[in-house]
Amino acid sequence: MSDQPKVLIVDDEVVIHRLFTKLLEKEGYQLLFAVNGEDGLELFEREHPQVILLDYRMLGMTGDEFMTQLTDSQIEQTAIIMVSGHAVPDVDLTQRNQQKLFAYFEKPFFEMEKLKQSIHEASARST
Amino acid sequence: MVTVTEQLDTIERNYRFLAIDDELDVLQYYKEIFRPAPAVTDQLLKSLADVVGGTDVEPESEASKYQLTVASSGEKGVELAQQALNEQQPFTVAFIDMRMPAGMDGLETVKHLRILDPRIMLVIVTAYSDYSLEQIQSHLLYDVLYLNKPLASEEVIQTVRMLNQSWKEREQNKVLRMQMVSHAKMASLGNMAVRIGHEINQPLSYINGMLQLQKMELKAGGEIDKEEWSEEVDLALEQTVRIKEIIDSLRVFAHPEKSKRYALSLSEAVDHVQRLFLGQLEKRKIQLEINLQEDLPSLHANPSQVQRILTNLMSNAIDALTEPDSATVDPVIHLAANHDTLRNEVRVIFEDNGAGIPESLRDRVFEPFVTTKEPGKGTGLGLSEIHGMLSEHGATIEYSPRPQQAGARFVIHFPIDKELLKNE
Repeated sequence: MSDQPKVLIVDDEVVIHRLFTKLLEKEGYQLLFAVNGEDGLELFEREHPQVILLDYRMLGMTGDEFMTQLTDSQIEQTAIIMVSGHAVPDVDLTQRNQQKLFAYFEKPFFEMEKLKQSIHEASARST
Repeated sequence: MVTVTEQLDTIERNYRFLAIDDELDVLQYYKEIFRPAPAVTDQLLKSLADVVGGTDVEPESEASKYQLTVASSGEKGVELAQQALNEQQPFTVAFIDMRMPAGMDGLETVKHLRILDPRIMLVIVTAYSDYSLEQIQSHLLYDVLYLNKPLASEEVIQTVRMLNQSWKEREQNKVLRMQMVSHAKMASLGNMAVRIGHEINQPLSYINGMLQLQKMELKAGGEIDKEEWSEEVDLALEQTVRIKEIIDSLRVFAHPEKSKRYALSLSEAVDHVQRLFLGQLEKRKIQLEINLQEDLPSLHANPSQVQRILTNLMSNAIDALTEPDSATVDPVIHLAANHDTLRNEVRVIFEDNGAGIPESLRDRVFEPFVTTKEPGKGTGLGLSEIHGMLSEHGATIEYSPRPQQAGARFVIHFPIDKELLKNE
C-alpha cells in the first residue's frame, strides 16, 4: 500500500477529516490526519506526503505558520492546497507562501469535484 | 451621547446635599454652617489667610461650596430627592433627623431614600435617648452613618466633605468601569466575529461538501449504500444543530438587559436540574453530592438563565468525568451553596474530580470558543455564556483548581438584593 500517494489533511475539525475521507477514499490515496499544525509537521517529517490539504485557522499555529516551517525544498516536493474559510491568500499569507501554494479553496462552499481534480493534479505533479 | 469626560466632570461638580429635620432651628443651623460666603468677604478672608498664614478661616469658605437643600419632613425630603433625580442633579449626601413625630420618622425616611436612590450617602442624626445604635442597626441593612445631637458645625462639615468625596469617587469609578467594559466588549467583538465565522464555516463546509458528494454519486447512477449515507445524513443533521446552538448562545450577548427576573429559590432550581440529569448520572455511575445551606435567601434572577448556568456546568462536569481516554474512577460532582452574610452574597461551589482545566487555558476559560474538549465535541461557548449571564445579574464566576486534588472547581458569587426581592 505504501506506493499509494499520500495526502496529509491538517484541519482542526473532525467532520472535515470525514468529508475529505469520503471524497478521496475510492481514489487510491493513503490519507493521513492531523488536528493541528504541530501534529501535521510531525506527520510530514515522517511520511513525506505528496499533497497537503491545509486549513488556515486552527488552535495553535496557523496554516501560514505551518508553511513557513517547511524549507523551500520540502515544499517543492509536496503540493499544498489550502482549504480555509478565513485566509485570503494575498492578505494572510506571506509572499513566499502565496507563491508556494498549489491551490486555494474557500470554505464553506467550494466544489468538491474541483478539489478532487486539484488533488489529482497535485499528486501527479509531485510524483 | 454624553462623553466619559463630561460624565466625570458632572460628577466632580456635584456638591448637592440634603438635610431633613422637623425643627426649623436645626435647619437654620445647617444653613448657617453652609451659608454661601459673600464674594467680598470670601476675598477678604482669603487675603487675610494669606497674611496670617493660618488655615482656620479655610473651613468657612470650603463649606460654602456645598449646596444645601433643606426639608422639614421625611415626606418632603423624599419628594425633593425624587425631583433631584428627575433633574439628574442627585443629592450626594442626606442628613436625616431620627425623631420626627408628625410624619415619617428617620428610619422610614432612610428606607424610602435608599429605595429611591441607592447611591445616596445617608447620615442619621439622633440623640442617644431615641434608640440604641443596636436598635437602629437591627432595623437597617444599609450603610448609614450616625451623628449625635446637638450637632457640631465642624463635625457636620467634615462628614459632608468626606461623604461627598466618596460619593464622587464611587460614581466616577462606575463610569470608568463601564467605559473599560465597553472598550473590552468592542475589542472582543471583532475577535469574536472571526471566531463565529470559523465555527459556523466548519459544519457548513461538511454539510455542503457531503451533499455535493451525494449528488455526484446520484448522477453517476451507481449503487447507493444506504447504511453508509444515512450515517452521513445523521452527521449532517447534527452539524445543523451545532450551527443553531452557536446562534442561540450568541443571543445572550445580544440582548442582555431583556431577561426578566424573579425571586428564585436556588434549591428548587438545583432540584430541577438534578432530575434532568438523573438518567445520565446513573448510566455513567457518577455520584452527585448536593450540599445547600438550609435557609438560603432567594436570588433575584432569571429562572431560565439560572437553569442554563447549572445545566452547562453539569454537562461540562459529566463530559470531563467520562472523557474516553481519561475516565475518572469513582466520579463525583459536588454542588454546595451558602449565604455569606458579611458580603451579602450567595456563594455556589461547583466541582468535579475529573482532569480539571489545563493551566494553559485557565485564564481564558470564559472566553468564547475556548474548549478543552476534542475537536468537534464542544462549541466552547458554554462557559462564556455562563459568564455573560452571571454578569448580567451582577454576579461573578471564577475558576479555581481544587486544592490538593485533581478536578475542576467553579465558584459563583451571587449578590443578594433585599430591596429588589421585597418589590417582587
